[in-house]
Amino acid sequence: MYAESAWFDPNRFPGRKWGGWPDHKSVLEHYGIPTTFWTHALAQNPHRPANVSRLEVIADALHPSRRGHEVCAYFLVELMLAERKRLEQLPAAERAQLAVQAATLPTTYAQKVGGTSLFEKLLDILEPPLTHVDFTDNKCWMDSRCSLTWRRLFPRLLDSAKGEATPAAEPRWEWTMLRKSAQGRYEETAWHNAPRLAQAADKWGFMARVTGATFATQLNISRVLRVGYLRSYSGDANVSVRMECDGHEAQLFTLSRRWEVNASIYASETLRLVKEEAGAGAAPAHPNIWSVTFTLLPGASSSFTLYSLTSA
Amino acid sequence: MYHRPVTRFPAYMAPHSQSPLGSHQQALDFFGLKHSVIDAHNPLPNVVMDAAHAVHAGWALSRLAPVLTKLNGSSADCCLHIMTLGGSVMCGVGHPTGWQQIKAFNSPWFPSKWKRSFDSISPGINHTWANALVEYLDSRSSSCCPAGHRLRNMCQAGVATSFYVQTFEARVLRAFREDPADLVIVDIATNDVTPFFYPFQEADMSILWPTALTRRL
Repeated sequence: MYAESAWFDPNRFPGRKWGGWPDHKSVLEHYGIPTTFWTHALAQNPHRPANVSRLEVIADALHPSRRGHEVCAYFLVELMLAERKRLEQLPAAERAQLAVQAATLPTTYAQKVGGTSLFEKLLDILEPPLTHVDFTDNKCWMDSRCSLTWRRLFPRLLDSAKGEATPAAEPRWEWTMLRKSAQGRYEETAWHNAPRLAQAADKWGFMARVTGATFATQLNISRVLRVGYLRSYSGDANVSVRMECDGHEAQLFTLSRRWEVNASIYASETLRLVKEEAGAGAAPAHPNIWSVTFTLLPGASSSFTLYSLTSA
Repeated sequence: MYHRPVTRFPAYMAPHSQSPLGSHQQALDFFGLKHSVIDAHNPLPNVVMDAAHAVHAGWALSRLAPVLTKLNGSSADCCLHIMTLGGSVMCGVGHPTGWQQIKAFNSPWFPSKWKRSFDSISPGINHTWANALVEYLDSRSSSCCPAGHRLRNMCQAGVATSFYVQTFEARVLRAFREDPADLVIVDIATNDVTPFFYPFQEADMSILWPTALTRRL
């Protein structure tokens, strides 16, 4: 099921109210995913002004209040009740058919709307990764069995636990926790000083604060490296990504923390080793081990936070 | 504050049901409050309910059929394992400013039983809609699920659909293998405003990320 809870502040985002719905709608309809769009429903209520409803169910600029969460739960129950009524009215044979249908999928939506090229792009992102590192998964990082591969790729990430402190003068990346304070500001804490009691809203990431902070790792890459990182409207921080492999031309990319949008959120950027014109499906014959180096460039007024690395 | 006239319930809305899913009336009683967006004992107009059921019937009914069958009231074991994916909304984040708190406290819908504090407006991880849904189901399934329905909230603040696609094997699939879920509910629209937030990115990706997550689930 999907619950669509976006109800943006019309003053903050003029002309844009419904979050990801315009993109979600066609996809969810195509695959038949039961969905409640409860915020939109409240705005349609002819007996109650939308701004009055909004005040009740939204706590701040965009997050539902405690009351809003209860309202969302109510609409989810209502949706299930309506579907139960439909199910009860069906003849037994049709109900049995539904059970079979439940386990199947229609043709991909990408094929339907975009043909082969979009389908290839979909396959591209559905392909199982060659390497995947998730800096947000603190639970896995703290479990040596779970994070065995990650620890091999980033042997210095947990240095402080082993007492292998690096020279103070050497700028470095640090695994860091961001936690929102009661005043609504995010506070950064290095992992070894982070409170042991985790909170669901904590944000973990691999962070560079000082110009020149560098880390290098070896990743198995065939065509692309997808980098998940924090983009924000506040603070400048650019990072260079240098990728080198024997027998291949070195590749250089730049990632920017700042964007024009008034939001701080996980964003994903695809660094392609293969030129687009070669076709999405084109790839070198074999995956190779690439040496990848991330460096915080001069001029940073803020930190740069890396969330994930995924190669394919 | 507007008061709607009392509406007679349609025949299919049984005032009481023994099913763990209950009836419309029971859901209203559980969640409803006077002077609220859900006005207890008065069903919302059809136009609202139609808008709320954004995708339903057909394929959608087939997706829900196994869960509805489990909750049909005749199963000996109706316990559900619900898994949720989402961003800060799913984590219960919400930080009202001073004037937002004052407006809320002075509203007629604000429950008198709630302490007039920041905590009573800001949900927190223990008062998300997923918790409320499980509380409702628990309140109705003491006989077929005495231990209570289970919830695994896999929220990650500040992430969009692309995050769950890229970490699917490591996060979602791993969790599924540990403990398969009967029902997965995704709430990520707030962070997934791709054409608006990412005008400089590949336009196709705003469709491809939700497509990829839907297919994987």
